[in-house]
Amino acid sequence: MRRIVSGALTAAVVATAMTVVASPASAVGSCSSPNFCLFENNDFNQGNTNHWLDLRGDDFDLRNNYWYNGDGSQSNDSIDNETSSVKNRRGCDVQLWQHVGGTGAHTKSINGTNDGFLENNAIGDNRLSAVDMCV
Amino acid sequence: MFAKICAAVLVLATLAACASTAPKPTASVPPAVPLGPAVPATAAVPADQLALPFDRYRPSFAEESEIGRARTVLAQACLRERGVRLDLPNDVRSPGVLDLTPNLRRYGVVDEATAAQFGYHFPRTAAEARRQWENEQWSTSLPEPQRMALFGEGGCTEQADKVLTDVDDDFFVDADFQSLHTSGAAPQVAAATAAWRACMARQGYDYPDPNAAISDKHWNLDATDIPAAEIDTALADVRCKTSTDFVKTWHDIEIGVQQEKIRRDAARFTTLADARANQLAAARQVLTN
Repeated sequence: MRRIVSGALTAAVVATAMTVVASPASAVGSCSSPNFCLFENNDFNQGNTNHWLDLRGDDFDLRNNYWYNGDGSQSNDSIDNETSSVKNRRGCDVQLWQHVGGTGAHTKSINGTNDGFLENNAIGDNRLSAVDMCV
Repeated sequence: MFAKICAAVLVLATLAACASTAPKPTASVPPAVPLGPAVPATAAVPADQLALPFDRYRPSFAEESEIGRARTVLAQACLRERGVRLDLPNDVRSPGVLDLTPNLRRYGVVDEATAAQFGYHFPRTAAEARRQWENEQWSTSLPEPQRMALFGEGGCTEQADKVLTDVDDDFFVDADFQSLHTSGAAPQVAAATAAWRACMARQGYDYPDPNAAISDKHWNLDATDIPAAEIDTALADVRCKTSTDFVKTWHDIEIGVQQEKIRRDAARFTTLADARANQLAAARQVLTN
């Protein structure tokens, strides 16, 4: 059972507050529903540092989110602009925004899909700073 | 035949009408979000004012809706074939603010009405907020066997794309992000940014660019409350963008960047357009059967 780290999962909060889900441990690349799963490295961290974060609610400023380690402990590494791959098991589509506040370019993660290579070398890691759930 | 769920819409009336074993929402408390008026969304800025060449390579709202409905039909059939009792919500919704003007927030907050009501918070109508909350409640409260049948590896959502033909648009997404970056680095945009900065300074604000203003750590963009300071800053931001032609300048530059990209990679864009057309045709075939 995943432990809710922040924000009570109530109807009054879900739609607006970040809902981060943490687990004592996470196998590399794993993502269970109803989570939207972010990974620091390409190919869902395969062969790389297992930094991950699972979300269930909107988050329009990822600067105050930090990666979790494979053992479930939280790192001090902010996830802002560092997401390289995602898996969508949220149960709905998720809009990924380039900048804080849901501005800039955006792309939609269709429910049930994976994207292993968000990173674009031409512009570095400046790809993801806000997430809009169930659009 | 299977379909991926596009659970973008969850109307309360539809949920109530579903004769299924799907769980009802666990709470009836409406979301405490900064809500707009209880009327259908209207375009904050006419879509054509922010239209870009890449837009024709994305599905329109109507086309996305058709594809979403087809996914639902296929997923429902898949669940039936697997003996899973679960009625899926209909994928029917009215266009939201971003559907009406897809590039509305590409250059930040650009209209006074949005700034006055939402500051830098993401704008949502009451209907959008409720639909989002209901979607989240529905997907979160699914029993595990149904959840796995729908969303698990090899589940019915995964099967849908095999029927609807998945569209590989990775290069397009990269190009889209890149065009904003490239156009933003143009000298004309730099000059417009400097003019914006000077305009803001005259009003007592010290931000190097609009992105810095919305990213000010004094704002909590996930909080329900929107402080007056945030609204005032957003209004000043928009007014300075208007007086300096910031958005028009950047938009005009980006039109040229995208046109050039389409010209240089004509074959890839043609392939993408064909893939989208094939997906839409497949979706319409599902819906008419």
